[in-house]
Amino acid sequence: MSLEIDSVSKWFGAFAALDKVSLVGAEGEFLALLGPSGSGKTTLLRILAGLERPDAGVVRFNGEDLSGTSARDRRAGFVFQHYALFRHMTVAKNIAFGLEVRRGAEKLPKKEIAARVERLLALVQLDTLGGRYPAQLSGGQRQRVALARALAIEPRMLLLDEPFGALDAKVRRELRRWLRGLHAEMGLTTIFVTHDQEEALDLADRVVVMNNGRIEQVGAPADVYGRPANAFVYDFMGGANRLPCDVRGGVVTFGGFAASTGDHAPGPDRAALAYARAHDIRVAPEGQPGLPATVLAVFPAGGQPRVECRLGDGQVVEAAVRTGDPWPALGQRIALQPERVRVFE
Amino acid sequence: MSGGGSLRGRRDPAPVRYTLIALTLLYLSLFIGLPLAAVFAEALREGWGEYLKAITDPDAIAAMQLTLLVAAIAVPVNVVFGVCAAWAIAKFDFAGKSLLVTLIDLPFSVSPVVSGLVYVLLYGANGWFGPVLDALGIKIIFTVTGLVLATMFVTFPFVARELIPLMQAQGRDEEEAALTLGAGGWQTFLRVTLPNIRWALLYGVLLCNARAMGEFGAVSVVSGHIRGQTNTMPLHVEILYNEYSFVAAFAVASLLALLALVTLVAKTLLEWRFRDDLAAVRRH
Amino acid sequence: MTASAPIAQPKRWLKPSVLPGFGLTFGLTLLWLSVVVLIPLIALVIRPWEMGLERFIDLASRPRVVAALRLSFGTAAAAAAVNLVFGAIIAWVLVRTEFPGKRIIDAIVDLPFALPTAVAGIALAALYAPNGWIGALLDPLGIQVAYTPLGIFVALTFIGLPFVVRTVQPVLEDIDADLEDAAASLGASRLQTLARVIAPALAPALLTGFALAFARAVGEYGSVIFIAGNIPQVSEIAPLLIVIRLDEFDYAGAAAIGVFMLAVSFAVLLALNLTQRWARRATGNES
Ligand SMILES: Nc1ncnc2c1ncn2[C@@H]1O[C@H](COP(=O)(O)OP(=O)(O)O)[C@@H](O)[C@H]1O
Ligand SMILES: [Mg+2]
Repeated sequence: MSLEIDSVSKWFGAFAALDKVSLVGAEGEFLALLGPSGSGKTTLLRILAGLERPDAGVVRFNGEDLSGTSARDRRAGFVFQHYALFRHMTVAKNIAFGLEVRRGAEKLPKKEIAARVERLLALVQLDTLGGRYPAQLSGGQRQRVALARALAIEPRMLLLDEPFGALDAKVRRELRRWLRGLHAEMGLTTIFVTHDQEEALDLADRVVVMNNGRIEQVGAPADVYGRPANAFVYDFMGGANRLPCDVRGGVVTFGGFAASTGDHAPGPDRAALAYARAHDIRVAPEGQPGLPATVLAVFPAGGQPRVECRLGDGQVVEAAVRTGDPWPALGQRIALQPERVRVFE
Repeated sequence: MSGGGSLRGRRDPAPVRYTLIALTLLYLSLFIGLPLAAVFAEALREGWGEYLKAITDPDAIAAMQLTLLVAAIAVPVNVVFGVCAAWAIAKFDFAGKSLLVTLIDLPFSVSPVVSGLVYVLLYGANGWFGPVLDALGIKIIFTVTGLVLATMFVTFPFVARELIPLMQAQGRDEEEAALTLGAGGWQTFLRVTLPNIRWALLYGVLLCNARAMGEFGAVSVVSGHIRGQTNTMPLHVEILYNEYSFVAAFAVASLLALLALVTLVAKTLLEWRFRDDLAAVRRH
Repeated sequence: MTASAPIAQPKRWLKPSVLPGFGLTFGLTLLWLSVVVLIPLIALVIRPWEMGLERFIDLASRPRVVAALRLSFGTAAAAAAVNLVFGAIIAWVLVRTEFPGKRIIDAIVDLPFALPTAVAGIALAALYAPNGWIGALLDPLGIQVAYTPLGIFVALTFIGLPFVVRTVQPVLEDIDADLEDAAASLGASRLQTLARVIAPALAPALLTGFALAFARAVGEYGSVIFIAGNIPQVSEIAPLLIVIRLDEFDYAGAAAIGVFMLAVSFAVLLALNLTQRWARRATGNES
């Protein structure tokens, strides 16, 4: 139990940016804060770094209350969303900054600082660029300088605000892989903020889904994706179809087709909306049990062959075609059989 | 300087263009070129000997020294104030900020004579604090103190208004980053903020200094025109001119004109080279 | 989402921040502002009430004072109007044309800002005196500039020049070339484009430049007094009358004129602010 966030609240005027947020991060854990823009991710990260003061609640590190510790003394490696590199310093100077401002007994000799900067430059694969200014770097390079600068102070935790937000897709994927390797190597408790669910699921040990200043769900990527706690999380993970269903005696049916809800109880008897992902909806011939639908488009290419179809109520739904199942034709009438669904209260 | 963008498609027809350019050149030579030329021509009307004599006259030298002294006090004070004001205004959010900015800009819209007048009303013989100061034996009006005060009034906004928009545009990210890396307040200011604003600061100092050395109306009111004591260079020019010592008047004036030219050149170089670091360029 | 217990913070005037130094810098700013600017200005502004409003009005409405104020405001308005026209032309030339030496011309426009006013004053006086370079040309035509209100107008035109150029120039630079091309592609003639696309976009800047040049000219002293002749009720400007009153130790008389001038320049700036705000709302741009 290294990092503990205990009922932290933050208000901006009458607006609650964080509403009693609690979270425990284990030593060396790689956590993703995932949520839509404005959900309070940056605010939480800034509170951890000591850049913002919570209006209520405490943050503890290894049991020590950090409330009285200023940003300066927290030793939280913070990587800003837009990097916040010192524009008038070279890359090497940027990285050395945290070491050069040390006082008293912590002061390091110049040689030692230079050696450490060299090591960090090598670590972030920018060996030859120490003399450049931030303006002369690409986005991905700036990101890595910001990271090296944060690592230079030997932080107790690493906080990254949308580390890949401003980068193009290819660079983003490369950096993602590189960051995971780096984390594995250093074992530093790391929290990174993202609004990209794929990134969070790919990278993190655990994903923290936030919305409106609250935590909606915390869990391993497979859990959050496979067993979303509520409609918001399901929606946010992507690919959600909303299908009308009947709940009776704990069984969810679609036009006579019974779906599995796994370990999630669908609640009392009623007509409800079920959530299902495309690959959990099977395309069956017309006349079989299931939701009647008309095929609008077929997408045979790509990782997952899909069809787009319209339900009787006009709603458009995506479903998968299993290997071996026949491809439906455009305009053909079919039955949709949602095999695994979730029904939220 | 239109950022090098092509002018094609929005060019005026050649005759219009040439007429406008000719008008511009004519107007600027008439209103700027000729007066400037007149200063130097009049100063050298009776040759270099007279010129040198005029600018090495003891009263002239005393005036130069006083001008330098006043600027040497007013400008640094202005720098400290400007940096403080810009730090508070640009890096923090508080109620009444725009009112404060307006108040800082106030001296720009006050007549120089009124700027001097307000101090006479405060510290003059019949002023609010006049009797008190008199009793304490402190004199402000007709002394160097008065000159410095009046100069500070008219140059008050120069540095601050140069820094505020720039520092607002730069935001707080770099300072916050410095804090998370373990820097203290002073370290953050000296190592991060100051280097980021140095050219704008220099720019502000340049303009502030030019105004401080050249100010006439405000100091004229509080000076008392005591030769060798409270006579700055611009005031000395006036005295010489009114005594019909035209060559001497223009000789001293030529030094001030040179100062103006040097200021313009330095200012222009700064604008060319550090355009991105100057927020208030073209927003006088 | 149910609203949780409202523990909303009371509205604070200062948003908390981890950056240090607010108290020190804000305190110094306020202190210095008060000592150097606010208290002296307040001392001036409450003078009329100290001496009684009636006396103030009496002092401010003496014929010599009225004549001086009328002269100051009249010549300032005329000079600002001339600068409006030529400032716009110069800004246009600096933005829209290329010619050798343009950058120098661009730099030199600021000379009236940089040149001490007393220097400008004696230079203009020397130029326009009947035996001066320009005065000698005008004299045979029966035009006398120096020592007449015309001389004041010349001096105020000189010092007001940069204001219009420097407010119009950046706006002109920012006008989207596409806008004009679009107008042209829609069949507008050059003049129509000028009148309907460019002029409205420039109007707020022109107005601002005019007001700034006017405000500066009203209070101008150094560049005027040498060329004005300073004949009471003919070519005596209001700032000079303040100086004369002070020389006579007539503080009340000086203060009366000073307050009046201050009030007018604030009124001009206030009007300007309001129009700018209005223009910003109308066009939805310009910070
Ligand atoms: N300094 C601030 N003042 C006022 N509101 C703020 C401030 N910082 C953040 N907020 C508000 O708090 C909410 C959460 O912001 P943030 O933590 O930046 O969200 P995220 O990083 O998840 O996009 C947003 O609605 C934002 O507008
Ligand atoms: Mg954010």
